[in-house]
Amino acid sequence: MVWFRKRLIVYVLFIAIAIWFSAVTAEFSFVSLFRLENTWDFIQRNFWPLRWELVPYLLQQSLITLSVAFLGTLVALCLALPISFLAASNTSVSKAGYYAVRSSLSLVRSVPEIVFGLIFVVSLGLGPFAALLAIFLHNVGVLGKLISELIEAAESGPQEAMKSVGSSRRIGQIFSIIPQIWPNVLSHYFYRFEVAIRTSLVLGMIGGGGLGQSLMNYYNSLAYEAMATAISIIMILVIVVDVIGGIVRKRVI
Amino acid sequence: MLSLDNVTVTYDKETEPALSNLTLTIKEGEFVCVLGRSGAGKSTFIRTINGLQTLTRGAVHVSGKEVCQLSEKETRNLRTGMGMIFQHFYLIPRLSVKQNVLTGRFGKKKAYQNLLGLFSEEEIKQADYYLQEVGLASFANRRVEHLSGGQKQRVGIARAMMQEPYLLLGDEPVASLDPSTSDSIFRLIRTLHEQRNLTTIINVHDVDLAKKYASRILALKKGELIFDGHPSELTDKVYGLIYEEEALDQRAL
Repeated sequence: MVWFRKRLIVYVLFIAIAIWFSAVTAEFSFVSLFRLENTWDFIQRNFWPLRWELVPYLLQQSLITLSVAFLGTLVALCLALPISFLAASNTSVSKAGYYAVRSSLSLVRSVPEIVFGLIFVVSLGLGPFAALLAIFLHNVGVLGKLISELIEAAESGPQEAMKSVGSSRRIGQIFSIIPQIWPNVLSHYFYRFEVAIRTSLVLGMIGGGGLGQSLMNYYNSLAYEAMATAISIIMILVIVVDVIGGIVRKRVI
Repeated sequence: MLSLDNVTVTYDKETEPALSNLTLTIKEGEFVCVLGRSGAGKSTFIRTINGLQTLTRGAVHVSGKEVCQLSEKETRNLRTGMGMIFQHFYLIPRLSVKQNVLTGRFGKKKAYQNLLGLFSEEEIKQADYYLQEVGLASFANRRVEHLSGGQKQRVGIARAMMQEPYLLLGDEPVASLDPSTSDSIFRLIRTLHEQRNLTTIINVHDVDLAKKYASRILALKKGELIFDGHPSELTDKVYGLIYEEEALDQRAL
């Protein structure tokens, strides 16, 4: 047992207590787990046949969802890139500036998109624009943090080389850091894009338009076959984005 | 052109200085090799010259200016005239060989010109010329990651030459290359040195390379200068002194 230390027993004990506590709080029950046939039964009875005539309409709606997710995250990336340089300890303006930018990023991140969504739906009215803004704000916080951590982990050698040729601080940082972290930036971006597609569905349910709104409408009017059709389209959408992300990343690396 | 007066550098949290009371002058057109064991202060010495390393005490003068008293802009100006090559090359990944060479101009141009890659025809011709000089003309458009170690160092040298330097600094430029590549890199540096009467200061592990190419050899031990003279004066006795403890350590093993 060379891999295990005595301290491990304490950790295991702590985790066991946490599991037990969470299970009780979440009302976990094995009995219901084995009664999942109800769920299966519901799916089997109501989700078939798919409503193929809805596909053109749903595709149109999915375009809204996709646009909201894409634009929201891309603009967020453009803003997060410069901010992340201010939020990284090795490239920030000053110690105070570093903490200020860091904490504002966590503040933005701590607000879930759905809360932003609920606010914007009221203040800007129903529709995809509210969803777009909510996704944009949250992702500035998320991408800003992730990219700043990439910057902090970047190799310092090329930065030294840029200093040595006499380049200005900022230019040196841009050229020595961005090429290094670029593949990881893209991979974070595509993951956030994928998450944003799912988020924009949820935001659709509170009035943010797109596939989510259709899904909610069908659900509320007990049109389960139509709902199943929307779900299928969502699945295809997410898989397609994932595949495209993979291709782009491979080309970049 | 270059003088150190009582230069002492002590790193934080360390009691032993990395450089202690170093006083020496280097004249224009010299080819200086600095010998010493790992941790003897060779890198620290090189880095005090272009202001990458701040001093604890003493002063470094280059062309009559005191390096540590310069403003940020003046420091940048100073560095544009000093080419520097590194053990791990520190090229910019994802850029081509020629693009990397062009970054050598960064100190002499405005930020927007560097960002957008606005180089004059003359500068591009110059980059081609230096690539020719270092024997990489046919690799101009290849990405630097795909080069061998020796080729990467040649790119590093071309980048440094692109600065049109009056001083070339090398921080262990051949320490990660095989013996025959090391020799060809030194031959290249020697050629560039002779063509332009370029003052050259290089750290090196390999005593034979230093003896073969240098016009003057310095040896550091625990931050102190223990030898300063013509390569022919570097007797076995001095050699023993530089590497003394290493031999002892090996015997102890």
